[in-house]
Amino acid sequence: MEIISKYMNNIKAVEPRADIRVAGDTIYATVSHEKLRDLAKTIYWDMNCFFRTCAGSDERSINGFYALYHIFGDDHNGLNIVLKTYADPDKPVIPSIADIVPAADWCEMEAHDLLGIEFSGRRQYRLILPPYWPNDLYPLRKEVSYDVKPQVIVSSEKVGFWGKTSTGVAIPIGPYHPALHEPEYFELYVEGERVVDVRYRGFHVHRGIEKLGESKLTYQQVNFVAERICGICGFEHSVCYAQAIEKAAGIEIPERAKFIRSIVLEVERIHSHLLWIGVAVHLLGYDTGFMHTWRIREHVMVIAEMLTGSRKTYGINLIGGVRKDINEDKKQRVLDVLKAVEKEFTELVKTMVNVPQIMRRLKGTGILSKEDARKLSVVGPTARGSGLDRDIRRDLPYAAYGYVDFNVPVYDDGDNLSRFLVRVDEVYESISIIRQLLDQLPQGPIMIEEFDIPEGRMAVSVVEAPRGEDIHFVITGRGKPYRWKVRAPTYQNIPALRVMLRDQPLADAPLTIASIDPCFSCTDRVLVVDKNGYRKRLDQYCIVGDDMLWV
Amino acid sequence: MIEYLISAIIFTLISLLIPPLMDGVERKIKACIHSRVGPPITQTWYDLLKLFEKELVIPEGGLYIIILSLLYVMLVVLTVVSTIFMVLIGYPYTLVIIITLLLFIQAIHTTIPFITSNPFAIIGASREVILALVNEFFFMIILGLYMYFTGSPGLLLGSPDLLRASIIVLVIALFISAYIISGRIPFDIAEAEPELASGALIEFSGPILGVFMYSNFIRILLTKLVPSILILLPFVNNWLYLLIYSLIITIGLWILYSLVAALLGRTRVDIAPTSILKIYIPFITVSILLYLMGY
Amino acid sequence: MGLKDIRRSRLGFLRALVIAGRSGRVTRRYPYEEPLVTSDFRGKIDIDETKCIGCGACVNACPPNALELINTRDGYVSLRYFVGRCIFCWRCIDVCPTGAIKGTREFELATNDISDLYDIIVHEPNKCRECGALFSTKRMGEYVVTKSPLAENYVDLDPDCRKSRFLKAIENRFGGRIG
Repeated sequence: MEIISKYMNNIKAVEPRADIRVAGDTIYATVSHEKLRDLAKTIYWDMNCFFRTCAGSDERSINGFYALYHIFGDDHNGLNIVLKTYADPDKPVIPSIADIVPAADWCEMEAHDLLGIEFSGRRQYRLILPPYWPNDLYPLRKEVSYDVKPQVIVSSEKVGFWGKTSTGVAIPIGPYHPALHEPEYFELYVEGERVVDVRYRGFHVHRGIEKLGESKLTYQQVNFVAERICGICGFEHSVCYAQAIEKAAGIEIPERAKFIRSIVLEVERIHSHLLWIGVAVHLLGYDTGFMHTWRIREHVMVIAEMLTGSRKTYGINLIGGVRKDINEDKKQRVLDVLKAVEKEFTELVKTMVNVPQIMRRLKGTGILSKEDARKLSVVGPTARGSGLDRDIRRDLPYAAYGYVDFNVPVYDDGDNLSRFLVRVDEVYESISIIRQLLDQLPQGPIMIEEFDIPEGRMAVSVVEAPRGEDIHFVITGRGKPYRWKVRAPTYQNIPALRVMLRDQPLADAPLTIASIDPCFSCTDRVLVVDKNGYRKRLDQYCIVGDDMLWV
Repeated sequence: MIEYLISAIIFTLISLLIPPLMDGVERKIKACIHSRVGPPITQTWYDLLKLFEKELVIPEGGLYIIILSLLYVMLVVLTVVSTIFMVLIGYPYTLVIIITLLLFIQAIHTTIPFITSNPFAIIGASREVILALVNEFFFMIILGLYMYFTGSPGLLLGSPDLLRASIIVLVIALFISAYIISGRIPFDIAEAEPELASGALIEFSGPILGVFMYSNFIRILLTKLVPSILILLPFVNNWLYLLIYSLIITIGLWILYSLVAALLGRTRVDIAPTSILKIYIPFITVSILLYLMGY
Repeated sequence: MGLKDIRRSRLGFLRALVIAGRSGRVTRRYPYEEPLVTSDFRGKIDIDETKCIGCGACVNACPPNALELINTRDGYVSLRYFVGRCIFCWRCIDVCPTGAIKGTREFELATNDISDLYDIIVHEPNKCRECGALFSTKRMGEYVVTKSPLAENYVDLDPDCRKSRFLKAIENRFGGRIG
């Protein structure tokens, strides 16, 4: 594999003492502090990779140090590159790469909040934990129990101005707002009807899922928790986790299980996109479209219940395969329902596109140009609507996607209409994929009975959720994961909102926010700060008189 | 004389009772188009009565809001009564009184949200101002043309057909203005719920909201009732039949409008004025042409 | 299928009326009508107390700890199922060795009285024939014997007695003293 040797040569050129190991499609390199920044620059800019996430880990019980893993991804060649560096157990300090790789800003602050790792060369602030959380209580450290409840005095945060860069009236959207389905807080600064600036503060639903996965649950139980990370795209989180453990332990699951997982993943994609289309037209006032889209979605939910036993949070995924099988008469029913869904959906889209207000308000609003999209490394339909051709199902095929043919819809305009059309096209593609999968469904078992999960293995697993790429990084432990890191797709897309909302009328703000299909329950652990991908000084965004940084 | 009084009272009571009922019918029709069952027809009455049972919370802006809301409802009732009297008595200048009262009502409806200092309310109210300015401007032009074409706001029998046709076209334009000002989709931008979290109505709650919404419903009835009377005036000379037929036309219009509202999306404040212009200019031109041809 | 394939017409939005007419009213007038659940729906579980042996496999598998083994009185171990925590995943049904747990399609579980949501199965404990301590359950002992008849020798000894017996056996075999 010449691309792998190219990477190895490049890494060795910068850091000759790097310890490099290749496992499957992932390259692991352990590097020292001094060369970390140069390596990050080489991989991110010179080799043109995207940044996936970074995960801190408390490994003092294994090797006496804290560790930080920076994960990059080369979609073009289907590779993941993990850079590992160690930090001193008494006073952990690691050089920051946030000015070279802007997308790393927030995950470094997450490691700072939850593990207490200091980052040199940047301004540090509290990102995830609430401002009244005690200063030296780091939840992800192993000595802190998962159910500790510190004594705190709860204080509230105020709506207000910040900096001299913002003029205009502050309009709070959230944390409770009719347009939003989950609590998040956008503060729009408007002059008249024009939005001049945006401030975002999230993490209202941070639930400490990673800590739970590492302390109280066993390997198989974490599947069910992973499914509940999100209410709409839960199954792909569970698949991503199961795949990560299977990759780490070297378990090969039966073919039929892979097919069943892919079928249910596509069913989930259809239901998620139909939900989004309904919500998007509802925000435009066209409730008829909303009701009818969800009426069509009801058929998909019934298929899901038939295939898995539950309309949502299917609970069929386990490490080693799936729990529930598809029998022949179910196959026929699924095909019949899909045909009806396709017909009704086509008719509904034809009607919706002819409503004059919908086209007027979707076209030309919320524009994200291709350069901005590349700088911010956005994912999913947001990226495909701006001309970036990225789809993990095609680039790093997992489960049964290697056996099917499908198109990846890409539109170039970068406005709300493009993202709408990408999702409409993806519904048709998903229906076609399910038909191909059901056609080729192999016989055989659906679950591996005996397998072993050794300790100390690592894996990165990437799955294309309805909203974009979802990444799970695991380090196996005894009976339960040692470290489990989740990076949901929405948090990579949120910084794009800053670009999309600027200079747009206020009336389009909820629609633009909804057009990236935000799933804030998924986002709860990390937010991306990446302000336009430009290297700006972070203190421009401080609240005057307050030392916390909201972006 | 006594029959005038009794029928005036009956019609006033009907006009005060049916607007929330018609709103219930509107919701039911919308639900049918959405393929669902929807609330019962009397649901809007239940909602208004429930609002009156809630505690009174005085919004920012204090007592002025309450006074203005009460003024609003009194003016609306006064306008209803005046409309009925216009039909009964036929005094030549009652139309002018009704137009003035309608403009007062519109002004108060737009001003009240400005008194609160909630940014959502102010944005919603400013959108309403833009919409109302364009709409009321054409409303005035059309009514002016009407009064000019008819010579006097009285009965108009025996006039040539083209003249009647031009008046009918004008009144249809008035019906459309009634749609635009009624705050239905596509023009409900003042109270856009996903964008502004209730916009102009955000600071109202409890009994004040009840009063405000009730007055809104009656205003919607009025904006349909007055053009219905005007369009029937050249054709019907019995006051009783005039009132009954115009009520029937009003109810029919309400049902038609609810159908249209369920089929369209919400417009935007910068698109709305141009859309309104594109509707009115053809109507006014056609009407003037017909009038000139009828000369 | 792109925008250019869709014919744009001025009055195309009126088609919504056709769509609405064709589908009719789809609201299910629940609870006056049957709810829309298929035959595969996963609801609450039902534990058959004649078959349960109190082994605790379901307790280990249950992700939210809805099933717990608790002590009801001295030495007596009970299996408690709390519907309030159950996520209806049916993992317990997968792992139960005797098939004592059955899945139902019940989901209408709301109640005013929280004790309705607890199912408790009390098991009689096994009594050690040497020291008289109470441990595990009688049924578990019987089940182990049916699977592995050799276990009959020690199934009614509690773990401490078993340990000391084993150590004594090694002492006898190899000499010396242990422990």
